[in-house]
Amino acid sequence: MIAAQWKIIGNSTYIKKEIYSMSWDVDLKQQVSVGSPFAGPIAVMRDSSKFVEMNSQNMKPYLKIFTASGDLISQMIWDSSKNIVAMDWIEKERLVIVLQNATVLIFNVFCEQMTQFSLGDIVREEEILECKIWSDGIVVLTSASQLYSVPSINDFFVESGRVIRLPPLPEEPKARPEWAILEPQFSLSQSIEIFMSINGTLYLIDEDKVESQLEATEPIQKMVVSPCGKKLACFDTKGTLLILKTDGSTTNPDRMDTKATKSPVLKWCGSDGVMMYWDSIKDPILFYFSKGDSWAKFTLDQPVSLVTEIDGLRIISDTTSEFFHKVSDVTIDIFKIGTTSPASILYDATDHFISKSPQADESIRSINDQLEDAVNDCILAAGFEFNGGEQSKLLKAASFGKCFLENYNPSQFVTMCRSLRVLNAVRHHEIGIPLSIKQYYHIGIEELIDRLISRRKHLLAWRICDYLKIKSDVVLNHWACTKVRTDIPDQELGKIIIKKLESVPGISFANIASAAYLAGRSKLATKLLEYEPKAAEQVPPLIKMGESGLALNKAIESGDTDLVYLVLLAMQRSLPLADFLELTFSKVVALDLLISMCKQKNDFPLLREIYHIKDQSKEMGNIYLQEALSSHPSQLDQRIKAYNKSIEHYHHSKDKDDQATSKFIDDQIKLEMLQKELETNLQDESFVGISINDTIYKLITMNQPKKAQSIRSEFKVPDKRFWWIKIKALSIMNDWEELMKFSKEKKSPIGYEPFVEVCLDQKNQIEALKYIPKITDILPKIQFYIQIGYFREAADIAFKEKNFDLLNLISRKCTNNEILNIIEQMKSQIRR
Amino acid sequence: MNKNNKSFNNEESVSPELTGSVMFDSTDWIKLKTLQLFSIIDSFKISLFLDEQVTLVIDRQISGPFSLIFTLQQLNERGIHNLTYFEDLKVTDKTKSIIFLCRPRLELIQKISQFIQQQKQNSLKYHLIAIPNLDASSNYLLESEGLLDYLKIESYDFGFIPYDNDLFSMEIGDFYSRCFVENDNYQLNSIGKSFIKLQQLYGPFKTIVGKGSKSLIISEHIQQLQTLIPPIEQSKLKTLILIDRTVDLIPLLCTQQTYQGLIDEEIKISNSQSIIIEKDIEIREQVLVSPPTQEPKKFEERVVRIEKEKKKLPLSPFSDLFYQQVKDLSFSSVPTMLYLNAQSISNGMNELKKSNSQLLSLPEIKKLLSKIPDVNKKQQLLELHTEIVQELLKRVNSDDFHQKISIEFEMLFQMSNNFIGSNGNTASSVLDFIENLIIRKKPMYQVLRLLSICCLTVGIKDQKQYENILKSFIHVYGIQEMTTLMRLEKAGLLGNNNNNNNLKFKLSSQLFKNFNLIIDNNENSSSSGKENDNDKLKEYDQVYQGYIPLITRIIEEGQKNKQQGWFNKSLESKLNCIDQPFFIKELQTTSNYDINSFTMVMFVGGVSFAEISSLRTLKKKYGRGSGYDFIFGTTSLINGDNFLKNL
Repeated sequence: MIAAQWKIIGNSTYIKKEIYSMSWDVDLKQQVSVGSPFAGPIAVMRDSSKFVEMNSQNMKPYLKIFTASGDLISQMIWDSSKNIVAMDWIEKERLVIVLQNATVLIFNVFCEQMTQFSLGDIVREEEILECKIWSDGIVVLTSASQLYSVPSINDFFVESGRVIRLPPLPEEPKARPEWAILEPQFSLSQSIEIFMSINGTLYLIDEDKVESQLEATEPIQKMVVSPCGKKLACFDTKGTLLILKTDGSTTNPDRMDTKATKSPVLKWCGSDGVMMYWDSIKDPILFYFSKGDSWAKFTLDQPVSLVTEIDGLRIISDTTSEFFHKVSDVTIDIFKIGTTSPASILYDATDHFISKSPQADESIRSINDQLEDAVNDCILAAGFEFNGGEQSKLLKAASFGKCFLENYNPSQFVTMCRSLRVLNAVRHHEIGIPLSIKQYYHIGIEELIDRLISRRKHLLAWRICDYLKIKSDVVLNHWACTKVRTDIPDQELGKIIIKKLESVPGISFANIASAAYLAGRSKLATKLLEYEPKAAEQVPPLIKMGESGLALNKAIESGDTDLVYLVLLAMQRSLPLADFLELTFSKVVALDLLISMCKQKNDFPLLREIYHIKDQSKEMGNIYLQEALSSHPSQLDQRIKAYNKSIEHYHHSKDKDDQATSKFIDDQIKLEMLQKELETNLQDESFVGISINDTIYKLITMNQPKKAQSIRSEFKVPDKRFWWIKIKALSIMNDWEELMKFSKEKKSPIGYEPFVEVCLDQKNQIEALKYIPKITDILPKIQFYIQIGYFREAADIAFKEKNFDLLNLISRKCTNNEILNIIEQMKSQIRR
Repeated sequence: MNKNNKSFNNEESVSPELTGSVMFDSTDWIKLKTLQLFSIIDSFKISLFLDEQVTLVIDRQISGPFSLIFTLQQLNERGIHNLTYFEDLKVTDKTKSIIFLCRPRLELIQKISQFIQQQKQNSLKYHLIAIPNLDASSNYLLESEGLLDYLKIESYDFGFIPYDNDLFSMEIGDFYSRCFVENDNYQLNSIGKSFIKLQQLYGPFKTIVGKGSKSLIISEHIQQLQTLIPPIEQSKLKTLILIDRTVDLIPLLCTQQTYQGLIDEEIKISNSQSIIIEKDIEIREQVLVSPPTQEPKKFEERVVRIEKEKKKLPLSPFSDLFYQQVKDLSFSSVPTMLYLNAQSISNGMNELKKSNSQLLSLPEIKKLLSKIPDVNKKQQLLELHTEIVQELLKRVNSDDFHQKISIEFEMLFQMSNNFIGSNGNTASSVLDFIENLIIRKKPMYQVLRLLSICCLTVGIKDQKQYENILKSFIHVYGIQEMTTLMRLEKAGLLGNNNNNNNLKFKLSSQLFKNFNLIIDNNENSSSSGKENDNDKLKEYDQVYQGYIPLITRIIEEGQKNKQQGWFNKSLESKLNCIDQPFFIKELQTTSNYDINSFTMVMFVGGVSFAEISSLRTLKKKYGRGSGYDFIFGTTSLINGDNFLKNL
């Protein structure tokens, strides 16, 4: 019975079977329709290129989107002023419409515009001549004979889309060229490639270069690439169909001479053959060509729309949707008239068994050795069937057969049962997704679930997830996001959503809360966020909803200080200062982090405000001091003002250290005022920004001893420090007379080692020698003599002190043999 | 032939540590980090075929660690031809893409924002690689300025960067101030994740022990994520020891006395790879001399001026065997090692000469010739280290250096002899010494380090003397350093006993006694006066003369008894003197552990080279497989100076 529908074309068997009886009211004579592959939806719009009678029904043009079964999903009124250049589907059931003004619109199946972008001013100015859309991109041919490409439409959804210009055409076309797109997934360069026929030569164009593939060909009027990306079908002006290879290795192409004078619509049927469709009002014709000389002709009684699938061709008319495809080998084995294959015997045996005929047993015995193959073939054949009854029969046969097999692995059987159950569900007329088993395996269950979600068939999607034991988070999430846009009251809706999602551990509520907030349901959003398990997902939505207090609490509870910083920044930006500080002060952790953040950013005003509220005099003093220090030293008034503020706050502190600090600052004010005065009196010298010590040092080097003395008295510099400064300064000036005079002024409070030290720093041994005798400690005295090479003098001192160890030290350093001998004599005398 | 054997034996005896030792292999770790970054760059889809110039703008703070893992050639292969810093941000005509690589510090985020705003008219592509990830506040700032649309943002975690065969550092320079002083635990997450990645590569830890509140948080992070580690049959990691820096700050502030530590102190090691030495170069010129008499004028060469030249020397612990031998030794023994190695090379050259003169057969001549490159390489290394040693000797032989060491030890010594009177006297004499340093305007951080040690050990009893010290300090170094004093006070390093600062790290005398941190007085006094074999041997074990850091003692005692060490109540009671949590955690693991499994010591808050050397000596003391085969991790490699600067 099944075999009666088959059509033998060459060596292959094909079937054109009806999938749906279309319930739509579309007239394909007047409409343009494009179908999405993988059993996708169909978009229909009036064909503005056809002349039609004006009547009340078609006064307003509509864009309508139907399921593959002809059920209306959505529609919208189309603005006639927008001229459409191209319309087609891309992956994930998104409809792309390209307008004449180089604008690209993208819609979902509900006619809701998802995004739009422009192909650029240049494309608009050059005018689009032709536009083709592939699964994730667009290619445009302009009137200037220039090609432009959108490598990825998806990139425009993430703000990184671009339009690139392809290399110029190698020759000026005499007539409008025909071209086809080879998708990046199939091309050698992994980017878009274009086959184009120009003036009888076939070219291959990619993003970088143009290559000639075939020359001296007849001009090609139609061109299309197969779904597998390996074959290129061409229809030339002589009415000949050629099949080329896309890798350029064609030597002897398959060809068929149709002798037609008009070019047909070319569509691949899977990758097996090409269907040619001549749209004639009187006598529409489908003509199928496969390899070799295999062809078939179909007559139609109404216009059709063709959709290429990876394993066949969907043929859509006003009243039916049919699927034309090659029959699988296993199906042929089972159902061919006169077949004696093991699978067919098993199939018949099952019938016998059901009718309780003893022939069942005989049949099973006859294929005993091939029973496993038969079972597997029945399983596979069931997958290829669209008819539930036939599926059931084949699966029963498989089940019957595997009862006789030991150690049979049933996973294939179980998998097929599950797959068919899912496919039958989505093939139902109300859903309208007539996926074949091959198409189903190709896209995977995840994509099917995504498509059901995007069509808002949440219940079916959830049931499939439940049935197949896969995660349903995505379904529930999308369902809830859709639900919050309904009119159900907040309290009731919250209960519904929470009850539904609570049972799924770890599911995220953040997206749903955001959707609720965008839908104007703030209270519901806040409530839903309570159930979000991750604080990092919880806090940003709360911030956007203006729930600062709650966001701060959640951030602190999470222990993630980065989240706390985020909330503080947002609060500071959105709240009045008083409210911001009041909220922050109620959380110790947040306050500490706020202070830390202010310090990083040098936000002194806010820090002052905080410390003022906390009544922390010490910290307030610190802030003013830092503020003074961070202003330029030349801005004296500003610095003094800040210094005084600092002193004021330090005085309020009870800490003794702070009193000392205020004294230091008081000194600093005096210092800076004196420095300014010094700069006024002494031309071309700079004192600002240096310390008290350095000021005194500088004055001495400028030969201003009285002023230096004055600074010393003002700041009570102790003798030790002053002497060091003066000694250092005089030595730098090489003022040795003054240094000697100073050393005699009174007994040095720092000893005379510093005098020797600074002289040696200036490499003046003569001057150093004047002070070494004045050193009272023996050890440094000897060390200095050694340092300048006066070993004899060092030895004399050690000898006078009768210090044997020191003599040893000197002898180790000395390199003069004569002196070494003297030292040895000294040691002998001491030893004796 | 015997002579050759003898030479080989001599060489072997010179470096006994390298014979049969098992090194922790960090090669896989470097490969992992390299692949991770390159996959990020590849994801930016930079076209290698178009004439697009890509500029990498790198945070100067991480340029050092970055160069340890990546080479310029590797970057060129991925289309990155320009490398610049944030301070030098500019665009050439050919620039098409810019990649920012930085820790997301606020000032850098602001620079990125300003730059993108300025360059809006140019159609540049911007990418940001945030280390370890873009925190929420930086993301918020970028979003507020509407720049997220322009930036493609990725995360990249350096994690642990190998600086030596057994040393990893995360190089988080501001970790101590943010985590301990500001109590911001943000970076602890990153540390925990790095440990997970380390375990994913080398195997899981069996035990985690630690001391300190931050270490406890890190261990909790690790425990939570431990399920991410796949089953590995043989683990190279057995025990993880986590110690907060706040347990003991003193070794950090004391002067390092190992060869490596001293180089870092006095010359500064840059990312474990190189040092820069300033040398005086005499510029000689022909000058015309005009004598007072009527003699004919003559030209004479004289020194006209002296210029300073900066010379960069390579210093690699991975390839320099001599450096490997001596880096952990007390500096006083390095000249001897230098001499012994030079002698060994000299003997090698003599062997070659003798052999050549004997007219050996052709194969034997080839064999000898093949030794020449090795000998030359060793000679070059010795010349390098001779130069370094000479530079260090200039500084080490000064009186200031000796007095500094002496003062440091005196303060520590008093802690193990708790005499009230002596404490007062010691504090007074220390403060006198410090005041003397201030008067002579010695380097500021040298003064601050000694002052911090004083506050943390003997303490300051005389408030007036302390105030005088501070007054002198400000008079000499300027009022702007008041903020430095404040930072140190807030960090708990300066101040009086009366201070209520919650960062109180003053060590108690009891700790010094409990753990024998100070070597016995008699031994010390004898070693300072005499030189003999015993003293030389002890010097190998004392990276700080007479003082052993607390952390070294804790780990030594904890690892001593494999079964009971860390669970020893005696150890726990000793540790109770430190008012911070102590924890021991046994992780669930199915891996096997053996003699080749390492113990990892993680310093949370930084570590100095000398402290690591102190722990390495435990391995020499107890041998392999006793629980002292360490690998070290730290948030950053620091010394006293840059520790104080980063507060």
